[in-house]
Amino acid sequence: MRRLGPLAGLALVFAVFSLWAGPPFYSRYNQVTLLTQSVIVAAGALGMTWIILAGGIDLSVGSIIALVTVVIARLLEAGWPPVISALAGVAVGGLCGALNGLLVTRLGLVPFIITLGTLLVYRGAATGLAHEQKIDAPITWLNDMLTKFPEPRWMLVASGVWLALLLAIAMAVLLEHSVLGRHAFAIGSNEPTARLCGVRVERVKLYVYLLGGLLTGFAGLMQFSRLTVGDPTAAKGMELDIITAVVIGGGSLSGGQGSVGGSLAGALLMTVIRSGLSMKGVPNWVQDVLTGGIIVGAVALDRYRRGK
Amino acid sequence: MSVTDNLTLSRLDSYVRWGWLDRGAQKRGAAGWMARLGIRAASPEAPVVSLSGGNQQKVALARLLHQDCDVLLLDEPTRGIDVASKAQIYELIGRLAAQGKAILFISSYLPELLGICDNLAVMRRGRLGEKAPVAEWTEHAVLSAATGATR
Repeated sequence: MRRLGPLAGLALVFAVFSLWAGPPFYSRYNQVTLLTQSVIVAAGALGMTWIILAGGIDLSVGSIIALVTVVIARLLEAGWPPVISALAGVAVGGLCGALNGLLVTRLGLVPFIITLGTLLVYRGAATGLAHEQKIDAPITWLNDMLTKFPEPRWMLVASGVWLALLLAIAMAVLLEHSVLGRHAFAIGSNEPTARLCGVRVERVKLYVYLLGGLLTGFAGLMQFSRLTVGDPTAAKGMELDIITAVVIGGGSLSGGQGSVGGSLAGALLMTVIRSGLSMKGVPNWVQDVLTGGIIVGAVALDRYRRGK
Repeated sequence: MSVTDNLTLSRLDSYVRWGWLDRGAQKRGAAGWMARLGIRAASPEAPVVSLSGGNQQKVALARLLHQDCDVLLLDEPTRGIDVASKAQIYELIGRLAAQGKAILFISSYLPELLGICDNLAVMRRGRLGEKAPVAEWTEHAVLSAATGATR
């Protein structure tokens, strides 16, 4: 029942907007649009789910996404095939995540401070690599990964959405049915006790940040697909959207709680709210105020239901 | 964390099949230990924090026993728990000793020491003092040894 909370919230909000905004909102076209729009935040939230439930946080994900778009654009520009460029971009995300993990475990500082630092480092690296401007890249099939009109039509949604869904299933299985997943939960619940129980805390954390970085790298690939350019200013502030998705989905910032399904529902919920409000022509400032209120309200309701 | 996860945390490797954690086997393993130690919980999936202090203590003990070691170091295993749970833990210690396990039992509660130990040694100011079979000790003698009063 607890797990269904975020999904029920999503269904409720979707129903409310469907009644309010009518067919344009619940049309199949708009459903595809909503799914496609939420892929970047959802992919980032997959990685953040691991990090948050292991008791950590990663503020640098927005910068990693920007760096990944720049790396992919640079490689395409230099004539590398799209597959290699995309994989290299994801690998750079993994590298950034691993560096975060190394700093967190070796320096013993709280992840908030470490990743506040790397937020600037990675953003700076992206800007430097791009010579402070957008990098135009040749148009390739990478730019079709988030199209609203996928070819062939039986795909229903673009390949990026399917990939994100596959990754989500893989992560849900890994969290539930792997030693790494259970150890991540144990560390988030009570790190000293997990250590006493023989969990290799440092190693598990490193893997968690590496995995988080790879998934953020995938989010970066999706961001590139949407932008079609490498943009060192992309995804500024997106770390907060991603963290919000996880928290709305039942993740606890003190660790030990979180689920893939919840985080995906959280990411979709925010897209639905933003898109529904702008479809009704609600001014931006009202949207911001409402969204903020809904975030606090949703999490407060969730904690209240759990009796904490 | 659930009782199952908590109880099996240090032996998760023994439930891995083909690289994946067999959650069914893990749950059955935990349920077996819960039955053996008389751990009362709504289900093996119940969060361990929802259990009473005595039952939480037994979960911790079960996690140790799950390791199947020959030597157990139990530091105040009965502190702060109810009388019924205490009795169960004493009984369990007796059974483990009968299986041939060595148990180092540390406590500051004299009656339980005199009740379950075979041999008893007294520490004073961080140093190991006299040790003797438990039959040769009286409460008074233990206190004297602990406080340094002459016997």
